[in-house]
Amino acid sequence: MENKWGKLKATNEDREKIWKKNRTFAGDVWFRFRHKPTALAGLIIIALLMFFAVFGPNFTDYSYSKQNLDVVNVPPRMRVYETADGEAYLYITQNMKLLEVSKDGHLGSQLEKVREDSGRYMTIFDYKGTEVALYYGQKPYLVADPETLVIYPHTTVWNHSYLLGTDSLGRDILTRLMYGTRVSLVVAFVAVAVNLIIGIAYGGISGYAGGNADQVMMRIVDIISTIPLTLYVILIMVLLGSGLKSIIIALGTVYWVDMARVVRGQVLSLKQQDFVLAARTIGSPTKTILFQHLVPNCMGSILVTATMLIPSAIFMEAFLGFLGIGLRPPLASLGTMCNDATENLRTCPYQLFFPALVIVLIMFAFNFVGDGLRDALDPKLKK
Amino acid sequence: MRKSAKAFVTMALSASMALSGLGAAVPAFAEEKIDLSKAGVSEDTTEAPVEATGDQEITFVLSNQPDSIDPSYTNNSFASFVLANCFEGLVTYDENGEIAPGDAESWESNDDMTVYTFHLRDGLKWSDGSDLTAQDYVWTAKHVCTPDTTAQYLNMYTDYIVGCQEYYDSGDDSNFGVKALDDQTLEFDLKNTCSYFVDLVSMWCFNPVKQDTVETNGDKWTQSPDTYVCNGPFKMAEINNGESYVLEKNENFWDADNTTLQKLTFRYILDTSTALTAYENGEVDGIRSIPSGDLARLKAEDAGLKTTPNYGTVYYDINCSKEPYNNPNVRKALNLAIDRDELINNVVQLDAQPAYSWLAPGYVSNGKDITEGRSDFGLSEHADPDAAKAALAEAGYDDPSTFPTLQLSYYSDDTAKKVAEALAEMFETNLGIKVEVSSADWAVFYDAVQNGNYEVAAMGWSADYINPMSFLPLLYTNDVSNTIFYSNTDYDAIVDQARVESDPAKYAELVEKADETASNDYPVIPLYYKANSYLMHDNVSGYYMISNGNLYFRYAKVAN
Repeated sequence: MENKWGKLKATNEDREKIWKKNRTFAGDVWFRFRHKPTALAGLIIIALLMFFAVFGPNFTDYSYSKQNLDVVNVPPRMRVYETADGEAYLYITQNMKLLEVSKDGHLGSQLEKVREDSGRYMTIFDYKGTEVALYYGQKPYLVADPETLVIYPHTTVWNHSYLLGTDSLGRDILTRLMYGTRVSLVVAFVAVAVNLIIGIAYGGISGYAGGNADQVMMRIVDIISTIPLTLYVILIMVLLGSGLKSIIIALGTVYWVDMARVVRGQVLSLKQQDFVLAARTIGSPTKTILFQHLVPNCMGSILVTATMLIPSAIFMEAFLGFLGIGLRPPLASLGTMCNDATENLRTCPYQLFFPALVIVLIMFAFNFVGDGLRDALDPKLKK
Repeated sequence: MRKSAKAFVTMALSASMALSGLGAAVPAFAEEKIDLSKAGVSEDTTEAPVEATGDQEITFVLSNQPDSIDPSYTNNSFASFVLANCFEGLVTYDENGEIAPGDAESWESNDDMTVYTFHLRDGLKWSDGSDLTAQDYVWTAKHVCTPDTTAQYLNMYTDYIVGCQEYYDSGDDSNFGVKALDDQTLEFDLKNTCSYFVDLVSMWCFNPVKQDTVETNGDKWTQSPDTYVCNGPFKMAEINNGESYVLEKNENFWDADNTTLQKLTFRYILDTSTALTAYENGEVDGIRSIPSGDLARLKAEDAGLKTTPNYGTVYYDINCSKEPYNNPNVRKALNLAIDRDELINNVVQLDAQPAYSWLAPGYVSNGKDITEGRSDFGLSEHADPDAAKAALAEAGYDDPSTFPTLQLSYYSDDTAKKVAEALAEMFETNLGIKVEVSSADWAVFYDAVQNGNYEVAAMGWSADYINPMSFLPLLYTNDVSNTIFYSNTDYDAIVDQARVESDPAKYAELVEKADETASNDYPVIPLYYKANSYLMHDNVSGYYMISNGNLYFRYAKVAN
């Protein structure tokens, strides 16, 4: 077919042939999905976060529990003062001590305190045999020579030892974020798995069986969903003690309710259709009809519901962590990190900012993907 | 003004930099100097007596709720704020922390200090206007010694006063040692010589409670302002459970003429940083718990930080009745594995002294602190991992990984959490054992500790009265306050001797011996000796905190 302008052979084959590329249903969905920028961005963010959480810890020198009490509450960007010999910087910690910082931003150790000179609003420290003064008579606090009162020149440097700073026990926030994200993603996937297994089976059976079975099963679902979810999860946590296992059990026992409702609704309308009747006529067993014919036909709604439930499960975990009934310390989750940070909110706001940012990113990403999937799967919204 | 000055400096700087570009060797910075005159706006710290102006109302924020505000029942220091201001005992403390007359005008004892007689003031009244007599004190004493009251300070009566134990056991009051000789004279018959009994009666378990209200309302009498009858400078106006206690001036108080404050609100904000925000916005007048991260800043900024020494110790309970913690070597290992210096300076960030014994310094006898020059029991402010591991090996755990996972529990509190996490890390790295950390609400936590359902738990002790005898019962076999279930007959014998010793020098010697006997067994993990820090705005004056942590507002004034 080099020359499209040439004369065609008058065979049936060419006349009937569909020249446009044929797209499968999945291909069609993917086509529409990837033409929605927010959805694609969401997917990329999720991929990046997964990479961050799974492989990140291999690239850091710290663990989530490793403490260095010399460098508590050090931010990612520090205002530092250059020492008189010009070889290092000094950083004023939130605890009014002086911390040695190398020229390339690596943290050293705290300087030895020599004496307090409260009359002149100064604390005197010893730096390699010379005295330096931390002056707190005005804000921001200054580092100066105690004799001549000459203020050391100041500048700002990035913290190269701890890229996102340290928390109130001197642990690396970046590493803890990786583990925190990991916990969030584990919770997300557990929620999905529970939804897919229990929710679909329960909703499918209830919808297809109909009648009294449906009545009883749906009333049970009603009862479960009338109990406020937060309260229920807290009660389970009290019963089982805190820890990731209890969070997963707590979420797992209730998180399939919405999915069961959605699947039941779909199955109810689908089972009246002719292909089900046809399957029944040729003697297919109920199991085959349900899982081979009905469930694949509800896949659109199932996917959308699942992606929309993930962020709420993640948020629930973060929320429990924030209330202090989540993971056992020293394990990190985004919620417990936020909770730890609130105590020092005024002096170290960055400790709250980073975990909160990750929560926001996860929420956005999953919601965007869910939105994108819904639009892509819904034929009515097809342009 | 400030802005323009800054602009000028910048201009000067850039000018000098431009100049220095010509002559190479000059440093690029014009040397800035500290202008000392700019510092400290509030230079004159001579405290002029603040005149009371405007509404006499104070809101003080607390971060921990007491288990009860019944003086006969609780021994919880979180209750002290309500109790110290709502109740008046026979004696109280003045602003110097010394014993001062309270309901009793005067008192005397017989020569061998076994009978104390207190003379009550004329016209004492309850907050509901009825008369308060010596009989009320007698009834309170019997009420505390009734098993149904489950008084946590029961031993303050049964250990010292004649007939209290019998009354508790059988209800027989024929020999009850608290007697009203007439309406205004109260007599205490003691089992043994006790030189510090007046210190003892300053405790709130000796504060009177009113028979009518307690009998009609049972243990619910503390739950409504109408039934909460008291006799102190303030009375209860509102009880908002979990939120606040609102107190108002008690016109029936004997010293009501000297009480200017009309309304005192204790508000509960459990999150300390929220509390600090409220304080810095001027929404509240003072807060009790300060986020440790802000302490240094608040101190430097002169923001109203008050620090008073406290006769108390912060330590961790070790359950001495439980395997493997009944082995002193295990306890020694735990004690050696922690770095107290790091804990104090970087975790809690306090001006505190590292502790090597549960007995705090602060009791002066013959002009010298009785803990002066005592041993450090082989501990130091830094961790000693090698010695710790050696001690653990001596206990039979050559390989620390065979040691059962240590359960470390603490109560929900920001500082307690940080300390627990830091300790867990120190145990894991310095000892190589596994640690599991868990937390609970104070009430749940304390219940578990009292019942021995713990292994190692966050605890602390603030003395109820300024005498080592408020610490010694903590380790006395089967004492109610002995939550570590430590038992040592030698120690018990020394404490028994100290209780009846009237000679101060010998008493000090016995206390020292008791301390040495117990501390060499490492019954607890002492961390540091307490100091109390709280915040109060400068327009409030006249309040005072004494070294047992009681904060008195009776003479407080507000200048608006």
